[in-house]
Amino acid sequence: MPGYRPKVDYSLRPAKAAVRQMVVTALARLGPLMPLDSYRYIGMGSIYFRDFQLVHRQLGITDMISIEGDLGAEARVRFNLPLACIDLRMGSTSDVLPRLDLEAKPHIIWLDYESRVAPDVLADVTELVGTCAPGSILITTVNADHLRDKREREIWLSDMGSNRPEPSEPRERDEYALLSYQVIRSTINDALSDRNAGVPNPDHRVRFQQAFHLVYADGAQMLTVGGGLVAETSQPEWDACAIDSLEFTRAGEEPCRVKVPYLTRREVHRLLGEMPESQGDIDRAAEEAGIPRDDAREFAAVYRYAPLFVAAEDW
Amino acid sequence: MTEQIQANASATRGFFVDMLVRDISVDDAILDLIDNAVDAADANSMKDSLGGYRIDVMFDSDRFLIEDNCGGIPIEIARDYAFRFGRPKEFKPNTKIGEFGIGMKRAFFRLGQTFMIDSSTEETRFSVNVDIEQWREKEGDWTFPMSIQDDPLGEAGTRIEVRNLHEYVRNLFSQESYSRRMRLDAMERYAQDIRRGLEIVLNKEPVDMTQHELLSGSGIAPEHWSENLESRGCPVELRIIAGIGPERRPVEESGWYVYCNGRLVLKADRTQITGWGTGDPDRETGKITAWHPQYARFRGFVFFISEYPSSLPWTTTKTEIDETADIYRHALQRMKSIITRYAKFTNDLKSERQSFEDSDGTSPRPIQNALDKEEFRQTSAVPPGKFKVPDPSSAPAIPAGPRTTSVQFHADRIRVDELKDALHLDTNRQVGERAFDRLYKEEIGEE
Repeated sequence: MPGYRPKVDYSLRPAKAAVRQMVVTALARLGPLMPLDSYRYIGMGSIYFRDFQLVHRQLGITDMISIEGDLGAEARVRFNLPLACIDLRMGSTSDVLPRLDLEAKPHIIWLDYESRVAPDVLADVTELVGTCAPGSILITTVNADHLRDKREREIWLSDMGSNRPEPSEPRERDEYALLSYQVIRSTINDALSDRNAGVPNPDHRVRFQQAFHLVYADGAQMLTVGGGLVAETSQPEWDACAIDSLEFTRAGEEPCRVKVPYLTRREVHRLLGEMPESQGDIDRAAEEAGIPRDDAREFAAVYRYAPLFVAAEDW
Repeated sequence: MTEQIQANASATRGFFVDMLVRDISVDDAILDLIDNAVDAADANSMKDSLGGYRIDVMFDSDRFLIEDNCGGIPIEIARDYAFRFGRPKEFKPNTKIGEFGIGMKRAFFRLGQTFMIDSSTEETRFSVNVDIEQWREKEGDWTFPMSIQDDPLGEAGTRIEVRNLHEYVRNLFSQESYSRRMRLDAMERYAQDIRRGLEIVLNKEPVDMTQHELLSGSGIAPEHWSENLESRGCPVELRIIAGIGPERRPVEESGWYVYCNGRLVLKADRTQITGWGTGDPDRETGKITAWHPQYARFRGFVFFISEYPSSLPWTTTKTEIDETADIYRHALQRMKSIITRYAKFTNDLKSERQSFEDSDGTSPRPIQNALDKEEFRQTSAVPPGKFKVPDPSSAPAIPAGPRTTSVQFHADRIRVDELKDALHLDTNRQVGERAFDRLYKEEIGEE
């Protein structure tokens, strides 16, 4: 059997795990817009399917498709399917997505790439924004790390074209995330403009209501951008979901940075005693315990979502 | 002292007739006459349907005849406007196709030497009988003698006959292929009207839509999408029908056909206007494949329909698409998505054939089998739905076969394109495969 060897053990990536839980926490609020069990979830489950398990367990969604691009991995991926309701489709996203009837029902689609923003990524986004039923949620995750190699950087930038938004020549790590974010957003906006052009019925005209702009790094810096394709007439229902009142959601250019600090069990318990932040005094607790204040603040931002302890298993 | 006199600048009739027909083909002359009848049917119909209206066209080496029951020409219109060369300003015809006025006179002059018109509305009837040879030699008032009959025909309509055909026209009409060609032209041009119930008969055979057939059945379904849009404040209906056409048809038939109120504006288009090879050329977002002979069986039909011709996405000449129109941009997004799905289908078919060959005929061929069934449906009978073919990615996994893995790398785009051109390849993937094969041969030897 050709070896399928994922680059990372996703179960050991705390920031990623926190982001996943944040996204699902927000999705759990979608009730006023659409009954949750009417959605179909499409993701890229790899061999871990963590997002599928969460989405099924916490949202009750039973119609699920996982897209797997590594054709050599099929046997192993199939072996690892954790639920009977996951339909595995082999092929790249650009192969599989156009075949699905995305207009028939609302979808939650998480395009969880390992790659950077690239023409094929943007083509997927364009296709989805153009076709998904109103009420659908579209989430894109890409690698947005620094490119130190000059040649690699030039190729990447030339893929973005000449009319890319500012910062057009990223230097700092933050600027890579911002540029990637802006390219994705402008692709969404262009596709939306075509979709809405000439459409008189406000039930059929959609807006992109951005909910997620998350930047995190377990290793490489990653960017997650997402939100709802909401019909103009469904604006009150979207507002009723109150997704924007969650502390990690972001509707604009300023990202929510997710960092999971390294703390001992004893430290975690001490800090938990001061949670939620508004009712405790974490600064004092941090000082007492000698925990860097920044670590304590990061902890306060993620403690409800991040895996705080990895269960030890001997086998 | 200067004397003012008037130089004679009036055109002779002969000169005028010759000028008028210079740029018009016989095909166009005939289509102009049919256009007039279609317009009449449209103007007289109280509803969207054109059911019950009929246009009968007949020609042979002897004569050209067109007869319709589409309402007839009222005497006043005939007397004051219908035979004039050019339209006076105050005349605002209530027509959709002939908005800019097209001369039936021109058609007569083009076809032959004598013409006879007999037209009857519910109240009036007149006839005009002209020998053009005699008429063109005369000077003085530009008139045709009209005789008014008191007894309207049973059915309101117009009968036009042209005799003493010009020699060139006579030769054309005696060729059987010409009749076939006219039929195809008429099919395309009046597809929309025929769908609305209009009956057009050409040399005793009805013009129908059989030419536009798409595979439908056995897991294959054409796309049929319709939507109500708005342009400049006016409602416009958009309908898109697309799929796999018949095999063994000329490759020139492949592409998009775009109709505005039934008039064919783009025919078998395979350019960027209809989405092929598009995407922001700089950024390559949403890059759509360029047309390729692999897509020879692709047929797409786009219909824009509106009571208000000025809200349609065409230029003022009505011969080109206005790509900047909102409703066209909207349609284009969907057309591109259809192209993408069609391209996937041809790729799937290709790999299905490849594995069939590699496996010495043992691997399954769900797509080919569905194609072979040759179940067709006329475009007018396609039910709403998305373009579909049997999907190999949802089929059960095929065990065995050579074990493959993918090798990915980035390379300078310009250099990749250079190689593509030099090796006559279509995709980056093929360039990569070629590169791998060559390296393998050099380093390891023959497989």
